[in-house]
Amino acid sequence: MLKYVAKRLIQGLLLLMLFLALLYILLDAQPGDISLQLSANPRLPPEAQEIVRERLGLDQPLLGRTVTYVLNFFQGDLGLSFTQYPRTVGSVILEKLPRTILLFLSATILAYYMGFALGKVMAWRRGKTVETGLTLGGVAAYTVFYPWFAILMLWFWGFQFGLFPLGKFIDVDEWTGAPMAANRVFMRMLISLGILGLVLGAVSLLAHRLPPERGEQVARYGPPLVLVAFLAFWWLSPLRSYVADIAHHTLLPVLTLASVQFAGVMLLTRASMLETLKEDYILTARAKGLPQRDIRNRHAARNALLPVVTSLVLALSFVIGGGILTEGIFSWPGIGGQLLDATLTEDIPLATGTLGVIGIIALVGHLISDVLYMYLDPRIRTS
Amino acid sequence: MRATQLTRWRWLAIVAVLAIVAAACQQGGGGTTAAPSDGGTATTSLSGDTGATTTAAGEEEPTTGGDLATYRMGIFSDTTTDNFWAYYDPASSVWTGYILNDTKSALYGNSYPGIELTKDLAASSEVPTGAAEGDGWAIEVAMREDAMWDDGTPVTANDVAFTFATVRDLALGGNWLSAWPLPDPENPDAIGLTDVQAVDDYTVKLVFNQQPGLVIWPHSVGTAPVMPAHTWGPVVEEAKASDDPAAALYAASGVENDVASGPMNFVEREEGAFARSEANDVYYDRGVEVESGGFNYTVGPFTDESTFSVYGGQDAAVLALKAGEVDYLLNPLGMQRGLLAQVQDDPNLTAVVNPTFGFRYLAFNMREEPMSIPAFRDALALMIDKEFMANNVLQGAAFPLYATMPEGNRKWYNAEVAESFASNYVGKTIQERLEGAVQILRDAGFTWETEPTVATDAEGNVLNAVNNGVGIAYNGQPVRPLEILAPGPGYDPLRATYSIWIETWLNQLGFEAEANPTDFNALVAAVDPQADNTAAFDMFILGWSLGNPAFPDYHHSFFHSSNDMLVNGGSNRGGYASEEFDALADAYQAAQSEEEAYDLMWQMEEVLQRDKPYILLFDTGILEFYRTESVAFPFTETLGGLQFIQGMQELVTAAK
Repeated sequence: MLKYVAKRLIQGLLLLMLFLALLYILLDAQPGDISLQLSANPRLPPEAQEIVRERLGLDQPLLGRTVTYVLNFFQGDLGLSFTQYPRTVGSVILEKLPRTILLFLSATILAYYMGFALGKVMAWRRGKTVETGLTLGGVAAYTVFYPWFAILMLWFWGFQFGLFPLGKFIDVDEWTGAPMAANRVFMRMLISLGILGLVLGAVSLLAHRLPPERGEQVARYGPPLVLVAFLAFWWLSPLRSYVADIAHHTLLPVLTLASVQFAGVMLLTRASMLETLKEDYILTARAKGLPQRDIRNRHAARNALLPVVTSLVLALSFVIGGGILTEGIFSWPGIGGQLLDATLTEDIPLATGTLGVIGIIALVGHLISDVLYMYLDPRIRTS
Repeated sequence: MRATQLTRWRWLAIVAVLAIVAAACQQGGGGTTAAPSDGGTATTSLSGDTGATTTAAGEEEPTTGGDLATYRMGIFSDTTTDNFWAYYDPASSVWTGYILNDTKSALYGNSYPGIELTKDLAASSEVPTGAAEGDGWAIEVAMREDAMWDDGTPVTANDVAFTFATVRDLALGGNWLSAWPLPDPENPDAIGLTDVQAVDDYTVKLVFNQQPGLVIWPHSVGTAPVMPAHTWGPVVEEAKASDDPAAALYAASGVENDVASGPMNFVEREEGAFARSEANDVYYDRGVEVESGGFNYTVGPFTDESTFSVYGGQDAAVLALKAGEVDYLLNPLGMQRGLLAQVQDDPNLTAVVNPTFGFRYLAFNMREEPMSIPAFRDALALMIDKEFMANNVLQGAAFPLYATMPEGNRKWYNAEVAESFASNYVGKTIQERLEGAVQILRDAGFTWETEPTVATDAEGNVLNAVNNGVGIAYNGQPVRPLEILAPGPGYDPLRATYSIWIETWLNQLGFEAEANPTDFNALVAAVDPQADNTAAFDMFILGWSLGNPAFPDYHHSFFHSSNDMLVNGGSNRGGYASEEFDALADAYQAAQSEEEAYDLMWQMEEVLQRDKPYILLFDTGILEFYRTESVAFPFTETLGGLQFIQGMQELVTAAK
C-alpha cells in the first residue's frame, strides 16, 4: 500500500511540474502584458512603463521565466503579484483561501448530505410519488439557471424578508474597529470545524470499537455533547459576535449552492442504491426478517456510498476553485473571483499561482480518492 | 433506535443553525447613519425619448441637511493598497483612488462643478509664473500657514520637497512621474523638475530645466499630491538602504505611516470587505464658502466617516441601496441601465446621469493606403450616420460626438465650433451621404467596376438601402481587404455594434471590409507596435478617458508626430503627422494663459476635423444612483458624475 502511495506521489509531482510549466506558458501567451494597462494612461511616459516591466521581470526571455517560476513554486515562492505589487502571490492566495474553503466546503458537505439522504429514499421508494416528486425537484434544481436563482434567493431572503445579509461576508458596522482581521477569525473557524470533524470521527470510531451496549450510548450521546461543547466554546469566546456574523453571512450562499448541488448527488445515490438493492445479500437480509430501515441504511446505503464518497472527495478537491458566479453575486471575495480578475488583468503570477494551488489540491484529492477506494472496497485492495 | 438518533441529529443541526442566526441578529446591525428621514425628495427626471435620467441641478430645491454620521458607499472591487505611494504607482486603481485621493492635498486643486483651478496648500489662487534662473526656470510658491496634517503637524514646504526628492531618489514610476516630471536626458526638449527646495517653512521653490507651460505648471506639478515628511521620512530612509527601495517603500503600511491633510483620513481596511475613512477634524478648508460653476456651497466634511463596502455585482449592490445598507454606489463606469427601473420605482432613490470626460473613436493606420488617403477618411466620415446610430441602433445609450472635447467639459467646450463641425453631417439622407462620399472618392482617384447607388423601387422611388459598389480601385490598383478591430460585445456592445455598421458602410462604398470585434487585450496588443516595430492594423475602435479636465493635455499625446507609437511608444497609434498640428500642439504645451490655450486647442480641433486621424463616434453618460432619503449633495450635475470627485465625501450632508 505504501509503495502504491509513494508511486502515485512521484507521478503527482511530475505531473504538477508539467502542469505548472504549461500553465505559465499558456497564460504568458495571452495577448499583451501588464504594461498594456499602463498604456491606457496617455500621460504616462513610456519610460515609466519600462520601469514597471523591468521591476516585474518581464524583460526576461520566456523559457528562463518559466524554469525559474517552476523551481520557485516548489520552494513556496509564487512570485509577486503584478496588480498588487509588491504583495506576494502567496499572501494574496492565503488571504482569499479561508473564505473560499469555508463557503464551498460547507456547501459541498451540506449538498452531499442532503443528496445522499434523499437519494437513499428515492431508491427505496422507487415508483412511488416520493420518487417522482424528488426527481422532478432534483432535475429542476440541477438545471436551474444559477445566476438567476442566486439573485432570486438574495432578493427573497435578503431583501424581501431581511433574514440574511445582502451578500458580503462580514458586516461593516460589526467589524469597524474589530480587534482581529476577519481572515484570522475565518482561520480559527476553519480550524475549530476541522477539530469538530476529527472529534466526531473519533467518537464514531469509539462507538464501533466498544461493546454494543456501551457503543450505542456513545453513539447516541457523544455527538450531541461534542456539538454542544463546540457551540459553547464559540458562545463563550470573545469573538462570538464576529463568528456569528460570519456564519450569518455564510448561510444564504451555502443554502443556495447546496440547493443546486445536492440534486446530482441525489441522482447518483439513487442509481448506486438501485444497483445495490439487486444484490443477493440484500435478499438474504430481507429473508432474515431484518427491519426495512436497517436493510436500507446499514446494508444497502453503506455499500451504495462508494461512488458517492469518491465523487465527494473529487468535488472537495475543486472546492478551492470556488465559483466565480457565487462569489460575484454574493459579494464573497474568494479564490474564484481572484482568478478571474488575475486573468483579465494579465496578472500572470497570481493567475498561475492560483491555478497551481488548485492543481495541487486536485492531485491530492485524486490520491485520497484512490486510497479511499482501496480502503472501502476490499476487491480493489486485493487486485 | 437509529431513526431516533438521526432525528435528534437533525433537530440538533436545526437548533445550531437557529442559534447562529439568533446570535447574528443580536449584533444590532443596520446602519449607523443618523440621517433624519422625514420623507424622501426624489428628484429623478426622465427625458421621455430615451429613458435616460438627467439632472437639473440648477432647478432643484436644496436638499442638503445637517451632519451625517456615516456616509456609506458601495464599491465593486477591493482596494489594492493602503499605501499612497504604492497607489500612485504599481497599485494604481480607481477603487483605491476613491478612498485615498481625499487624504492628500496639493499646492492647487480644482473646484467642481466649474472645474476652476484654485488654491489648496498654496496661499493664493493666483499662480506664480516664476522667472529664469541660470539655465532653468524657478518658481517660488507661498504656502498657507494654517494647513495641518491630521496629527497636528503643520504642512510645510519641506513636505513638498520631500515628496519630489523621494520620487527622484527612489526612481518611482507610474503616476508619480507624470505628477512630478523629471528631465529626460535623451530629450533636452522635455520639461522636467530639476529640484524642489524649501526656501522656508512656507515657501517652496520649484526649479524646472526650462520654462514650463500651463500643462506642467500648475496643472501637473501644482496638483501633485504632497506626502508627509515627518511620518514617511524614516520609512524612505530605510527603503533607500534596501535592495529595491521602491518595493520596500510600497510594502510599508499606509495605516501605520500615513497622515492626512485632505478632508478625509483613511483609517481602516478589511481586505475583501470594506474600507473606512474618518473626517479630518483639522482640515483647513472646512467651512469655506465656494462658488463654482454657478453653485454656492460650503466645504465640509459634514460626515464623521465614510465607509466603502465591496460588492461583487451591481444587482446585489442595488438591492443594498434599496434596503438602505448604502447611500451611494461608486463605479467609474456607472451603473447598468437595466437597473434603472428598480431605482425609478423607489421614492427613496435618485438616478442621475452626467456626461463623461472621454470619447470612443475610430482610428486609422495612416501609414498605409487607403487609410492614408484623406478622401477615404472623409468619405467614411460622411457615411457614418452618428445620429442614426445613437438614437436608433444604440437606443439612446450613447450620444454622437463631433469634436474631441466633450460637451460635458463646459469650461473648454466651444459649442459654436463644435456645432459647425456637426452641421456637415447632421440631417443628411442616405442618398446625400452616399452620393457625397462617392463624389469625394471619385475626385481622389477611386474607381469602381460598379459604382454604389441608392436602391430604388420599381417606380424609381429612393429606398433606404444601397446597391453596394463593386471592384473599387485606387489609381487603377484594386484596394486590398480592410479590417476594423473593435472590443468584443462582452466588453463593450456599443463599440462592437458600431464596428459592424462601419463594415456595412465601407462595403456599401465598395470596400472589402470586415469588422472584427475581439478580446480587449488582444485588440490592444494588435494596435501596439509589433515585434518588428510596425503597425499591424488598418482601423480600430477604442476609447479614451481624457484625464485632467481643468487643463486638457491629450491633443499632444494622441496626435503629435513625436508621440508616434513607432517612434517612442507614444499614444499616437495611427502615425498621424502634420507640421501644422505639431506647431499648434507645441504652442499649446507652452501656453502661459488659459485664453491662449483655449484658442490653440480649437485651432487644433479645426485641423483634426479636416485631417480626421480619428473619426469621433460617441460617448455615453455615466449613470449613478444614490439614496435621497439619507444623503444630499450641493450639486449633482458634474462632469464624470459624483464618482469623479470620490462621491463628494467632503460635501455630502444628511438629507433634509
